[in-house]
Amino acid sequence: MKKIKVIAYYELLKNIRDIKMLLILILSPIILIFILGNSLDSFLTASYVEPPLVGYVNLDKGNMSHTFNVFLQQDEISELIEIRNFSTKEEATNAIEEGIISSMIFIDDNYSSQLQDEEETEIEILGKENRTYVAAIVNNYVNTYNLNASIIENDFIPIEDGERYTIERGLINSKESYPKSIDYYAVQTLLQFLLLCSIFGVSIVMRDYQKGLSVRIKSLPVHKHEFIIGRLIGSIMYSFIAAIIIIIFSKYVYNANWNGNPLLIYFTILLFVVISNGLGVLLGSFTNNYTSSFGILALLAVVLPASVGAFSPKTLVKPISFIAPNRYALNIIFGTIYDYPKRLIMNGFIGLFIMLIIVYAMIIFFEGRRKYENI
Amino acid sequence: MTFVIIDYGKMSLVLAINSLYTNNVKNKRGENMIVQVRSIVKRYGNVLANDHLSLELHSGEILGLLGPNGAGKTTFLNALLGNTSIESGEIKVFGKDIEKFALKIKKDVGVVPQDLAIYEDLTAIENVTFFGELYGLSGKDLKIKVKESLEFTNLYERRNEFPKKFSGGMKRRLNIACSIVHRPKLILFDEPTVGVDPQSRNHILQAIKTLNKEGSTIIYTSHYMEEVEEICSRIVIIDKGKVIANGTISELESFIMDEQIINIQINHVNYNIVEKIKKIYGVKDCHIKNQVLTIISKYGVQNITQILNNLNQENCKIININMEKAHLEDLFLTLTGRTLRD
Ligand SMILES: Nc1ncnc2c1ncn2[C@@H]1O[C@H](COP(=O)(O)OP(=O)(O)OP(=O)(O)O)[C@@H](O)[C@H]1O
Ligand SMILES: [Mg+2]
Repeated sequence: MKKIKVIAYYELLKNIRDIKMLLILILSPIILIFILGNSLDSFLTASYVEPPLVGYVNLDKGNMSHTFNVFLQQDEISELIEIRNFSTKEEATNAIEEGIISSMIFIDDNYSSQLQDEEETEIEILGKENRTYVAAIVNNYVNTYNLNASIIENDFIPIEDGERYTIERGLINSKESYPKSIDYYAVQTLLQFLLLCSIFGVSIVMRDYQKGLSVRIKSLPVHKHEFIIGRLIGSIMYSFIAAIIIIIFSKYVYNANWNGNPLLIYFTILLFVVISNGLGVLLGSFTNNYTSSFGILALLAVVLPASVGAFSPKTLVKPISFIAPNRYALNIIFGTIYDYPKRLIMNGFIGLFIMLIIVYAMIIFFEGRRKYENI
Repeated sequence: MTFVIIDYGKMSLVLAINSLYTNNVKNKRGENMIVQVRSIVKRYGNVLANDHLSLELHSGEILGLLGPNGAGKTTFLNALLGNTSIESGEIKVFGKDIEKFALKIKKDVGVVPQDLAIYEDLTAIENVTFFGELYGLSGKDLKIKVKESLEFTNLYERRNEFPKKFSGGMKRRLNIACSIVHRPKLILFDEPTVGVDPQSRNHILQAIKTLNKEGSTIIYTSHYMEEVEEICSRIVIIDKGKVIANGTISELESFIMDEQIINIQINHVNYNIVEKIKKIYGVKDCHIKNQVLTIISKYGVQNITQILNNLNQENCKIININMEKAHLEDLFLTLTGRTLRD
């Protein structure tokens, strides 16, 4: 036990001193979060000097469209379009004909009921001018609104159909808040980089790049498993510390929303890095070769996050998202920040624990059979 | 001690003598036996890295393990600690079977690997402390021993620096400090002076002698006979995975005492000449390399005129000639017809 502690401590120390690694692990996600989180907003701001006048008809009988009202009333949005309310579709249509407004946003009366019945529903955009512009703004809402659903309910893809934007699923969300781009990408990008922490795992079971070191290590009165466990703990601690720094930075500098249960968030992150480091060990055991491990890892670190919408909520690789640990971690983290139902958070934990058990059972199986001389 | 010289290629004879030797020593002073290796075989693909290699080491010895590149020295040291698996053979260290008691044995062994084995991103003192702790040291004892081993290798003043800034010799010394921090009973040095300036080299050799005086038994591998001669009490020469000579310095010297080496540089090479010279009385062997004929001859036999006559007959012009009494350095040449280093 004491030896494991010693190995873990020095592993952490060595990692922290590796400045290049530190930069990659902490600086890159911080930059990426900034780029992804702000790209859409800046595109919209640059388009118009004078916000166009847009009609808004909301016939919804329930309260599900309330979040959309909140969205339209935001300062950032009212700088982009000026909303004029109409009580019927006809009134608004006439206003377009007369040239008072350029286009309109229409929500039908069954909007909430359809969402609650888990059916598709629509926000419609009609008009002569500025339709794509308005559509882009509405699309922004629909996407971010649905991000939650896309993460949690696996069967969602936002559909663009001319100027109709379809919401397939509704989420009852008592805080009535939804993630803005920066909130969304802060979580997604963090998880993506923590997945890259598998690199540490790979190096744990690989021959030391210095041949002499592996000779020395094998000559120590230390069991192979003590060495692997010690180094794993060191790498996990390092990944975890990096995660905390990224969270704090994105929270206080970017104002990203991390206002969930902190215990739940940090516990999830810890579970996640335990899994990702373990995945690396497994990969190293399998390939026994740095180059192929890095190749596979680079692919995984793109494909798995992509499957849960880390780059864009629209994704072609959604079907494989069930093997992405990101998905389960997102369930929990978004779940606690945006008050999703407990059931979904529970699902996230079950998913993470199952992955943890599978990964470590495989490590024990494969590493146990590997000879020390190959390490 | 029984003197064993093995004629290369006559394995059956070798083994008979060897096992005789083993039993003899074991009966007399079995407790003092630090290493007993019997007939180990290690293969890498087609390469026989260790070919029925047997060796013994007594407490208090400094054993020089001498051999050219690829002779199997490093492989032997790896096998000794069970770090590499062997096809057959038996290895006992401190009288215990390495397969069963590997961890226990390793506690009392220090290994100085051939390639540098230090962490560049830990300071000198952190490196030594790390390995000290893994050898089971802790608390005050750890602190004292870390300090001592840094002082011993002349690195204490620079203990808080990173090895990145060290010279090659200093890195080598740190490599040693990490291996002796736990005061091992047995220390394996795998070519610790490679790429080191003469001053650091001397320092390392003296340090090894001191360690030995303080009670450590030592195996020292090298390609340099002069190094081995300087510090070792016994020398084992291996080639192509086999032991080809084993004895104290004076024993080995007596083997070549009656030999002399004649080097003749000629202007053109003619392979006929080698065969002719080999037939001359007193000549034991003759090789040619880079237009230099190396002739191993019995000392005191007046055959030089005959050799020169033969060269004349073949129209070889002599550029340079030198004769000397065989030195220990030439033993490998005498045994294998090759030099230890190119
Ligand atoms: N890991 C390995 N894989 C394949 N062949 C190996 C390996 N290690 C050693 N060998 C081969 O085994 C033989 C003995 O190698 P070894 O390293 O033991 O020699 P050595 O006496 O230590 O040489 P040197 O003086 O160059 O260090 C060589 O032919 C070498 O090529
Ligand atoms: Mg070697």
